[in-house]
Amino acid sequence: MVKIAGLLTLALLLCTSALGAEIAGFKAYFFDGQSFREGKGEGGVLVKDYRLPVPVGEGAVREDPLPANTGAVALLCYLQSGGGKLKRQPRVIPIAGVAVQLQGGSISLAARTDVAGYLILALPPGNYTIRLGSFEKAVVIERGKTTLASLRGGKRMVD
Amino acid sequence: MIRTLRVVTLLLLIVVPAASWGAALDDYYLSRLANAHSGARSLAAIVPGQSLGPDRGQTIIRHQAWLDWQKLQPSTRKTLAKVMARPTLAGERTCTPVGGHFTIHYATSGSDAPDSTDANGNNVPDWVETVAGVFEYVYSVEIGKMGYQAPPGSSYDVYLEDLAPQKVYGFTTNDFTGVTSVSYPSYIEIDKSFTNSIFLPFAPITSLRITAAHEFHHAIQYGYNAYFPSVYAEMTSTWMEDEVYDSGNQLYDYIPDYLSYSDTIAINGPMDNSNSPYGRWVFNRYLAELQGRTVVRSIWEKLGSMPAPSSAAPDSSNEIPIEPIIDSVLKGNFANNFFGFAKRMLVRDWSSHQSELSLIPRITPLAVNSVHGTVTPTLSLPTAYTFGYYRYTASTQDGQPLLINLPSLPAALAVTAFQVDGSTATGWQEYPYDSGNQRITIPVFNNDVYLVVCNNGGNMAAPVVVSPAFPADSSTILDGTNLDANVLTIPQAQPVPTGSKSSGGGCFIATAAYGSYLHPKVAELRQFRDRYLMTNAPGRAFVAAYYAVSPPIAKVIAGHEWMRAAVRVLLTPLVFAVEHPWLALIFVLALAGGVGWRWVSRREKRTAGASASVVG
Repeated sequence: MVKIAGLLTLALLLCTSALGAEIAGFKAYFFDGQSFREGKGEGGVLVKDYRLPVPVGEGAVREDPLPANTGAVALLCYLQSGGGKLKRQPRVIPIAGVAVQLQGGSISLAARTDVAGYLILALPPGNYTIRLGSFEKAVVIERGKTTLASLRGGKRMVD
Repeated sequence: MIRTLRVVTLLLLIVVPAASWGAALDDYYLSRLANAHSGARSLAAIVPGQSLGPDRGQTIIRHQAWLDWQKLQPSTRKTLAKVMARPTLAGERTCTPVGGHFTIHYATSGSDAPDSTDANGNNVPDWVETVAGVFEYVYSVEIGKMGYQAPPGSSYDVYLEDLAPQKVYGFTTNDFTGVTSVSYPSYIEIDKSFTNSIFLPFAPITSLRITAAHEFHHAIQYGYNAYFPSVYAEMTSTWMEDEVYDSGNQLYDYIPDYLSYSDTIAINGPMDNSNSPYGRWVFNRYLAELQGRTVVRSIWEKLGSMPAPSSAAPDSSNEIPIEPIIDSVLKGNFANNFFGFAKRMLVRDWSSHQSELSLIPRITPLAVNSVHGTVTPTLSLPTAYTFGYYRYTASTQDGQPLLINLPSLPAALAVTAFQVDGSTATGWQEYPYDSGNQRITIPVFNNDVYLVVCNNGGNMAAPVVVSPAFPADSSTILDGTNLDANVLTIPQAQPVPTGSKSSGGGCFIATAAYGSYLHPKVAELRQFRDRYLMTNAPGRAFVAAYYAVSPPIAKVIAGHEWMRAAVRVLLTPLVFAVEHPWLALIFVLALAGGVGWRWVSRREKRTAGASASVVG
């Protein structure tokens, strides 16, 4: 009985440490309301050269290679928020499931953000304009690299 | 066998409550939202050149996730982002008064539904009509009389929701597509009733009025320029509360959050983690008294003329700074007007809202010193557009002067002194700074002296009233509490269909117990009702009887967490039977068999006992 409990504890510790460990080669970034900063934070994204970036919290991290001669963009669509007379509200609210349009060179496409407000794309290197309704942002994609971009879809006034 | 039955019963007693507690809600949202929108799916969803239509089903689920947010586990909340879409309400109805400017959206079932009392019998809840009347009055003041530009759109959408769990009075959020490069439509969400204790001590109607005046001005602000500075938006919306409803007076509660830190929080500083942005409304009152009330409107009109920040600008630059705007509207006099504001906060010579002056708190001095003769304070106030006071009391009241020497006054600081003087109209006498001698002289130092220190770039001029003056608006300060009853015609609505007439109705008790119409267990019960009860006469009769008696019971259950838990436990066997009918049948048969076997075995024993007694 004691042996079984010991083995279970050991297995639990191994699992915990494995989950908490850095994913090999990936760097974590999070958006602080103004810019992306290196480190772990809510609503973060994992980035590695020549790999598709992975929003934090999607479970197991898969190393999906970028297609040849492409770079990646990890776009976070969010609403700026603030205030709250009775309770402080979060400053960044991801916009989930919203349609975003992207144009650049010969490419014109539309896609939808995930539940964390992210849109992950692999694209040929070049200059692109991303639009969410009337809001837009210019981004530059470099081969093998990930461009972290945020697009503010306006704001929510609380109270 | 009997022991086995007892063990099974004991296990059931343990398992059933645990199962009824259910993380099922988390599982439900995770399965419906997280799987549907994984990053891989986003990549796969790319459709070149094709615009995407609205995702109505997902919108409903995302909105429900938002409403149920507090009920979800932290890990689930982390996975599911908050949903930002116009709300979709259960059994949604709308109320658009004839000739009005608003459409009030309300739910007819579930937690968002407002009180359904309908005294005038027009099938529109009375509270919804009250909301419509209040918003229409707010419109008549802010747009009709004060002259602000109406927000874009022909009818403005207001949604009633249960926001108390989030501890929120209301939200105003812009749509994603503007009518110009800077002017955006928006929508308002407010609490469905304001009856929750978190809104005390304000009566529900007071909270509604304050919230309507406040949020609708945000709607106006989005119409001018969605890139407005949030802090000035809150300063204006909070100030507007008392311009529309003078007796509300909630805004005074927030002044200490600013005034207690007026030496560190800049009047134009960004939003912070306190209520100071709401408290800073008092600067607008000063400007309105000095320059005329339309100075505030002019500031918003100026903001409306500003271009959107460059799309290449960093996110930190996505709001238009307010200080240059105010300075431009005041024709370069922001600094001396701010110095005048610092003085008024001490002297309190306000000219409007006279009956409420006691609600404006006094500022605690940065330091209090008992002195005599000469003092040489060292002043430090590094943040622009901040101010504070130093108080000097006379250690000896001998009529000698007080000399406040300031030989190394920082260039950014403006200073002046006031002495308490009952012979003047304000009760104060000002003694300005003498730049030649670098000192302030109080000729007779018997009463307390306050040194006013203000970081405004060192501008010590008296506050300049801009010429030509800002035009007067057509509104006098009135308390709208007797003026906002709905006067517009409310179109008669169709009766809300009840569950007995339509299979689309809700399971009231189950909804109350599980907390959400969309809870998977409630959905299963609905499905069972529609598939097995509504398809035959006895079933329909049962459903009709259930819907006749259940709404008041459900209301009571919804109001007590312990009742909700108890009903969930009671419903668990039913839900289990609906989910696993064959297992349930086997269980019932086994139970019946066990009871039967026990009955037979007892009977045999009794018979055997009786035989023995005959033999004996």
